[in-house]
Amino acid sequence: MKVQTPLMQVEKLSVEFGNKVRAVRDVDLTVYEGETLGLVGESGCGKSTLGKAMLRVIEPSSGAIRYRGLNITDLRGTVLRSTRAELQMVFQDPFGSLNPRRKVADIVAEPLLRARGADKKTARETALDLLDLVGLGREAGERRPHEFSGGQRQRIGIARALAPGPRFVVADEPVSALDVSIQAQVINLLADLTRDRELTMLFISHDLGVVRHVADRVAVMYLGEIIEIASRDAFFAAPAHPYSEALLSSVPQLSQEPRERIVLEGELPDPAAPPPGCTYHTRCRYAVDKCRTTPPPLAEVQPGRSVRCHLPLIAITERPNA
Amino acid sequence: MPAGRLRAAYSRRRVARSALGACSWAIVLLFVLIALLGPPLVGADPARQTSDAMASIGASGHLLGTDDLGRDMLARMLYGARPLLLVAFLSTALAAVLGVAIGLVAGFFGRWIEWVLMRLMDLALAFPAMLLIILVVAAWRPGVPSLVVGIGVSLAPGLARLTRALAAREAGRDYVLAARLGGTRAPRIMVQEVLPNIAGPLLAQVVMTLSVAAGFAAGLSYLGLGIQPPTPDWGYMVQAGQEFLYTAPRLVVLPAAATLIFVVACNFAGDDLRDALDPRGTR
Repeated sequence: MKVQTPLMQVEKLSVEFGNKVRAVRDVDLTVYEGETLGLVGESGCGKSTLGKAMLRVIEPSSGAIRYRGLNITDLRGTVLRSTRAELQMVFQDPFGSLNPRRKVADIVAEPLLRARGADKKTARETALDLLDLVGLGREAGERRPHEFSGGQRQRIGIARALAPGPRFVVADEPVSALDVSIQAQVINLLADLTRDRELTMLFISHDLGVVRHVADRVAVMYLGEIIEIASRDAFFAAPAHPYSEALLSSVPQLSQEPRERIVLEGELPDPAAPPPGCTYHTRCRYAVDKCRTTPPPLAEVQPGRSVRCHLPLIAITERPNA
Repeated sequence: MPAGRLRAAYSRRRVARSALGACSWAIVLLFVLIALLGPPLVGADPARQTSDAMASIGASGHLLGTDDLGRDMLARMLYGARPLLLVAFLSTALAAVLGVAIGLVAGFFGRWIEWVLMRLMDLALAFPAMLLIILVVAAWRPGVPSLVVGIGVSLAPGLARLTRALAAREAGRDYVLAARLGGTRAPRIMVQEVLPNIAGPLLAQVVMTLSVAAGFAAGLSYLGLGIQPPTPDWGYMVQAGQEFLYTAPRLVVLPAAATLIFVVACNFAGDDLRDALDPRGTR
């Protein structure tokens, strides 16, 4: 097993919004250099907020963010700007993420001018090269965003994210707004670029099929907490948290025997008033009394695999052999 | 940018599509032309008194007649457009610069900055505008500079409010976030990313503000707090002509109607511009 260096770490990170909603609650998460970590969970669970807090575009209310060992939680001004050149983001909405009034070349050149201090000519040349790299061609630079389709706009967004030469990229549901027929192209482009440029990526998605395709490890979020984190293969072979199991059972599959489909009942609880005990107990089909009173810790159940559950599913199956 | 957008809007026949819009723009333009070119074209001196007092419309040498001092009404009408338009345009420009700057900063930064700035604007709005202007004019001295400052400052809060609302909406958009991630500093983000995207509705509001400013300018002159005689000015002409309302109504009706037409035309032109620049309408 190769040595893993942490690139991006958050420790006890919480993000609280004005209305007492804690969108992210005491999250510990490490993204290792060179890996793609898939962050999954349903809408409203706080995965985008966590991603944005890592990049310091949303201020955490407590906790620490470390990038290459350096605590960047309180960085300001010029230092923050120069650090952030290495931390970039690909957005979910291909329409809202590009300024409709600017030419595409200017949009992509902007981070080169500001974060890298490039001169106009170099920035423009690099921007056009990047547009070529993402498959749009250099002539795309003279046009404006509204002349492009959703998939093409995501390519522009990817070119812009690559422009300042990042090492860590948060891809926030980069394909969920796209037609299914386009999704694969954009996913493959992202995967290729990640490999070629040795990028580390936090890939946020609610689509487990997509995550399975791009991620090395998978983290599952529920109501602002990480409830399971595992390598991709281990996760998809046997989810350890009842919520992961329910999520996985909802993914359509072309496999052999028909699988039991676990339908989640009820709504996501109000994040302003999370249930006591395990936050998932209100919807969990295995819940026992302890789950209703005592919150389970995020505990390592196998090497490299942690679960926040009193009765993890893999422990249940392995206990007789132990 | 606004100029380019305007040209684009016009060439795509978005501005002035309706008859009302077209008329309004034509009238505003006509008034501007009159103010700029009218006086030299006519060549008459609006202050020269003749023995031919109270000549009626169509009198020889005086197309619109003369006033009680025998001054040519046509010349006075043409020259009278100047102070009104000058004050209206300058005070609107001042209101736009102040209001947009304050609103942009408030809406972009939010939090306590927004709170402080907008409460200041509320404070300014709580004063009746006319009273505020009279205060400025009285404390200074009547004339173009005091009028421009008084009217400009009193009209700025309205524009600041609109700008704040629009800027706050845009500040949450992902392209602004992307600019922050790309290392662009806040002032540049405001001017380069946010402002062009809210310029449409702002411009429309600015044109409408022009009509309000013109109304104030005329009103103050009427009260004797604006342009001082002997400079010809429509507001003052209405006041001076009042005593002859029954014998020579044209002395009042001509300047009053001219003011009214300009104010209403600005208002409809602003409406037309707003419709034309509304992204929901065409895009």
